[in-house]
Amino acid sequence: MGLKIEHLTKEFGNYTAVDNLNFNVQDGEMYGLLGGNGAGKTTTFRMILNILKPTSGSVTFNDKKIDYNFTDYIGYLPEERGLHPKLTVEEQVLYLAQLKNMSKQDAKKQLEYWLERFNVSENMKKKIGALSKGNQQKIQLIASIIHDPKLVILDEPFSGLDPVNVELLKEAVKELNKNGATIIFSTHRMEHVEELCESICILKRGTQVAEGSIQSIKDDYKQKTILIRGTHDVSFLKDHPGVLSYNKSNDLVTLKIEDETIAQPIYERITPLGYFSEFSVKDPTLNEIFISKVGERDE
Amino acid sequence: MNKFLVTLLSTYTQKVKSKSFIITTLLLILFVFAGMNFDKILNLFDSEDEKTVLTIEATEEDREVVTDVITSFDDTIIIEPDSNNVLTIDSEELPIKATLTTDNELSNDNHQAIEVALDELNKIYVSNAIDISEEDLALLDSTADLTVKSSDPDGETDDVGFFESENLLNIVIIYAVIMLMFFIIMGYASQIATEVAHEKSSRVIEMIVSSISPTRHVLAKVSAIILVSFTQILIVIGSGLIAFKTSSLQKTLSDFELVSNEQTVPIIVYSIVFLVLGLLLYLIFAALLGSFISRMEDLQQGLMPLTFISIGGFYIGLFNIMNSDGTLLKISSYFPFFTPFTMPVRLLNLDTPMSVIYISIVILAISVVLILFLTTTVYKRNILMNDSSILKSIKKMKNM
Repeated sequence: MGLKIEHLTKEFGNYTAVDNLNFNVQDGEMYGLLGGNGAGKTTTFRMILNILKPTSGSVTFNDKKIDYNFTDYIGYLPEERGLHPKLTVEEQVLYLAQLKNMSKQDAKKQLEYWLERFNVSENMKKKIGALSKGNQQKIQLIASIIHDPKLVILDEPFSGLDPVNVELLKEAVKELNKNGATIIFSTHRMEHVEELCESICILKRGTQVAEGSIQSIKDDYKQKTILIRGTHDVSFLKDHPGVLSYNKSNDLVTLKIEDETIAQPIYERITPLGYFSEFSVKDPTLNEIFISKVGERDE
Repeated sequence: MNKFLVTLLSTYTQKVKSKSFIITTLLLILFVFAGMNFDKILNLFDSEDEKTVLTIEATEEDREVVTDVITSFDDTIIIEPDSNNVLTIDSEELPIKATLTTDNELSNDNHQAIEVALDELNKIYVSNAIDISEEDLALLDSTADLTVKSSDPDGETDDVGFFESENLLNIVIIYAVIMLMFFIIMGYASQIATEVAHEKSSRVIEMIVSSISPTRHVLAKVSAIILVSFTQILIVIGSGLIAFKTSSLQKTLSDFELVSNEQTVPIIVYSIVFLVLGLLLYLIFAALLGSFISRMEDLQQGLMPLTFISIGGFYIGLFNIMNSDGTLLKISSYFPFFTPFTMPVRLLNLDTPMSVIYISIVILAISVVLILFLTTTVYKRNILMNDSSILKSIKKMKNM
């Protein structure tokens, strides 16, 4: 059950934008789709929505194919922001809500609720072109979730917002999820992913380089970080087998190691030197995993 | 509510409530009323103060003749025995001589009336002097009569021609239809293209097509704008009828011999068919062009093909309205983009067979269906692309 992506591939001529993508989003789960610019996130979303026809593979939600009979249950916030600048907030949102089969009265009630919630009630009758970028983004998020969708697709929902508004929107997304919506979103901000998602998929130029729960991805990722705090000189660790990098600032030394088995020999080599106030082995951050999976230059 | 109707109604109400629609409609109504009442408006400027008082010094008979002619020609001249404007007529010698003494400058109309009256008087004296009878005088005023008999069989067709004789009212109707179509196309083609391009360039289209299929969406948009244009036409025609009924123009029309004949009704019916099909063809084409636009500043450039084609059709139709048998007109009337402008003109020709009119309607209707199909196909692929060049978009579209 939930959203199921199987062998999804999209080719534009000779260019493969998405190559054999597979993942499941459980019903009621919040799922992160990560990847650099041009990794194929937006193309994937457009295929999920059936705006773009996949070259091969399938997308189902609760075992049903997604088509225009199902779009009333989907909320979509595209990455390319924009609303009709000449319409008022009310006209635009009510129009988009009616396209989701909401009645005008219900849509109006919901719009009032969300405008209040995002502290922008005064903008109801204003032309969208007259709003600030951040406020336009709030209106667009309202337009995409006003009909209480079962599946919410948010393409970089927090980009371009100040921290206060990011919190406001994040709370709204969490609430939707709590009320049962399945949410899939893309972002470049790893702290949001760690805070909101249980599972993620990392894309690199159209191919899936990691998929699963955040913890399992971290566990699978062998590289660890050792922090050593103390006044003794430990620069000899640079040449210790299995140490990938060495960094020193003031009394803190940060070591990247190939895997956890190297931590013990290192510990045993430095303890004879005397007192250290800290020795700890850390899991990699999602940021580190992302950079190592996506960032390496291989062209 | 049906999603097609949601888009149609939302676009329609937005457009009809827009300031530009209200202002242009009000202006058009104003023009219609002003046009229908131009005689009254002109009279406003012809106030009583501008009457000219004229005194005629001549023999009793001369004065009578001149007074009759002057007053029937120009009702601003009042003949009185004593005034500052004195016309002295000396009919002793032929041609007669006259002197006009005035304080102030007389208008052209006044001058003309006086000259006509003097000519008339002169004619009477001259015909008396050379002793010419009234019949001979009438013969002298008559014009030659030319009858053309041709041995060229081209004019003969088995089909019944549309017209039995050229009728001024019918020409006026065709003229009005061509003008109306051109102005609607100019005004509303850019509105459709703007609508489509606005949604695409502001990226809101991606949210819209995640709810409604692009084909239904673009059809709803085009239908809405066509309804808006028809609303405006109906308002203007309605106010035109009211203005016509309340004006004194009916009399003026019969003065111009604008009377309907048995062909007037078919001409109106066929003109409406061409008008509707023509608008559909051009407005759908505008939506197609609009879907290629990614930045609003490229809009006019993107619409250029449509503008040129419609100007071409408009001029061919307009310049051949008095030459409804022209070769260019005949050829262009089969080209669907020109048909709505040129075929109504061919309706005016005696020798245009009905079969030709039906063929052109069929070609035009098929073209409307084809361009609709092309537009929906292209629109689906185009709206998510943001290339600045149309050629690039077309290339990419093939790979979608």
